[in-house]
Amino acid sequence: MTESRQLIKACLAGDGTAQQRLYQQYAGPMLGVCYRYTKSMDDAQDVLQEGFINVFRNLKQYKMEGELGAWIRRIMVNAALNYLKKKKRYQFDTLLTEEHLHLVTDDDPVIQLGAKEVAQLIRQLPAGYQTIFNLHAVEGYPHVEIAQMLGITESTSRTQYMRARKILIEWLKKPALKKINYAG
Amino acid sequence: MQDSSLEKQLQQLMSGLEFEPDAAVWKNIEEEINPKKKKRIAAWWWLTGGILLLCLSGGILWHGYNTRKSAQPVATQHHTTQPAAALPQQAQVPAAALPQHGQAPAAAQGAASAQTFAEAQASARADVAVSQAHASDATVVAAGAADSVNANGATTSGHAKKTDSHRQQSIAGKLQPVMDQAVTGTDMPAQLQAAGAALPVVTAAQIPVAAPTPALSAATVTVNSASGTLLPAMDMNVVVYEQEATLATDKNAFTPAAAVTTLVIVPQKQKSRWNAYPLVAIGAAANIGGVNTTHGYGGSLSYGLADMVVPADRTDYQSYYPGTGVGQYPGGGSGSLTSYLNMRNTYARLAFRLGMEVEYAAASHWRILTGLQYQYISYKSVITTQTLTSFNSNVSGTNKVIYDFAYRLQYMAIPLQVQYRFSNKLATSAGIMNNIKLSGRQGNESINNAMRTWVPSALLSLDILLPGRKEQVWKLSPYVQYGLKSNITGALQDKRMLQAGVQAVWQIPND
Repeated sequence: MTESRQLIKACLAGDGTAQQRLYQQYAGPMLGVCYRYTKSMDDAQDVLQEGFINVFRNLKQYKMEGELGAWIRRIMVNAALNYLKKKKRYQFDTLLTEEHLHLVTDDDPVIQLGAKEVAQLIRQLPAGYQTIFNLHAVEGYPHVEIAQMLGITESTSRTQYMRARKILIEWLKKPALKKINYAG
Repeated sequence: MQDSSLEKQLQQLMSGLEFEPDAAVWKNIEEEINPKKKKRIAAWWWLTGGILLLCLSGGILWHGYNTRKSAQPVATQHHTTQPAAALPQQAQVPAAALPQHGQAPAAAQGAASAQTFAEAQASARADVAVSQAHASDATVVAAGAADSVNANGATTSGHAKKTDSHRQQSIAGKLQPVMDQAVTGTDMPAQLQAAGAALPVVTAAQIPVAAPTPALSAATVTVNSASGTLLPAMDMNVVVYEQEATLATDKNAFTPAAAVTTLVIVPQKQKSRWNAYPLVAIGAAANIGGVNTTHGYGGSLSYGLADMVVPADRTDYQSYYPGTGVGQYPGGGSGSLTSYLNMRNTYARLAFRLGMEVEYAAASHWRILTGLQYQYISYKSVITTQTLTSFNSNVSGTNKVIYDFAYRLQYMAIPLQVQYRFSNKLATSAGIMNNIKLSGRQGNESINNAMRTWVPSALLSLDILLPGRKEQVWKLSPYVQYGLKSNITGALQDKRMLQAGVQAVWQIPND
């Protein structure tokens, strides 16, 4: 923590070396986050760039409470959502409701794929599903918060999530159904 | 839902998901978060470079103006100890009209002698006029009598080589002590005194002078007659000529020199294949070798005496007093001087460069380096002049004089190099450094005319790339530079320059 604080102070003082160090420390995993929300690596890097610009511009608002990585991750997710809004990639199907869905918690598959393969499957979900699935399943946001973030109802978030989850489970059980393209 | 197995597995998996972003991402971020700062830094560097170049240009122009101003020739300089009106008419007599040395008609001599002697008695010195406008054409007339002159000088002047002003002045400065030594060291007055001749009469003393400097315009010889009458001091002129034939055989092709130069190249962001850096270099240069080859310089002393008495104990007088015989004869005297010039040592002095380096990334491994730089080189040479003076038949003396010359040479340098990068850590560069003459000085004396206009040097360096802060890279380059031409023309300083040293470059490499 002490090291992080020193790094942050140096960044706030305008030390270019510290800024680059902070970037290098978090750029890799944060690009992984961005990758899950986008459809291509180029888009992911655009989000990463935008996200880090926001990180440095808002670094003074970081209260030194909690893990710096988690704070940066939230900024990256917000950057991804903004990016998706700009690209108009939200397509939320509100016709299906929770009661129409069959929950499959009892037969969750054991994921035997690697992180990149799974992320690639998530990216192949429809845009709206992809976003909500990432927010809820991976980031852990509750549906109430997701609804606020995306400007939808909580039930829509739930519905979309369940549908996404169901699709993904199908794909996880039969990965050959989807052609995996890591180049994105 | 979030506690279910699928979500846990996903969160665990995704926490390890990482990719390596492109380098361009950070560059874009950096530009976005520090735009003003970077621009300001770049502006400062460019501003500093611009001011330096401006000051430099102004300095060069000012220096050039002053040099030209001081190089204006002085039309005529007189050394007069007597009002001109009291002197006999000075005449530049055509050589063809002059009686040959020692062949003046006796009748004319008689008339002229009395007048001349009377004049000489009244005058301690004759007037010497030295024209400096055209060195080789200058003529000095030291008149004792208008109708009897010594033509020996005309013959002597024929040996004089036409040389430029710088070289003549330089030689004159070096030989002046030699001349002094020769004149004061001669035993001729004593010989004349011992000759016992009756009232030798000075008829004239006239010698054309090739060397333009006032320092060489006159020398005084005192001659005593046999009767003890003190002859008037007689102005005497020396003619100095450079024996270029001797110098041409010298084998001192170049003088090696060492230089340790530190180059500091300001980093600039490399966005394109062309990149320019303001450049500041500081170090030292020196000729570390020494020319140990003898240079010969000839000089002659001549004067005219009418009815000069040849000393009885001299058997070799005819060699030195051509045309004279035993007894009272008109005559003259001449002697030769030889100076042996040795360059011994030189010492390191300041060297620096200012300007721009331009780099072109021709291919992934190849770079072309050029630019425009002002180059200042200074070094000090200690020249030992060992002289052997000879007047009459005997070696009358030797003289050893040590001269310190501080050279300051200014060039506009245009490098043209090709660099090959073996890796990100090692490269080599080779090419030509074109040095274009600006100006130069030897001590306080301008040697602009003697400097070669274009002095190309072969340049070879090994470039070691060391990582610095951020993306900056230090490039340490041991190098060797060899002059393909000499810096200074002429026999005295016709030396090429060999430089060896290390230069350090601070820059940002291309991606």
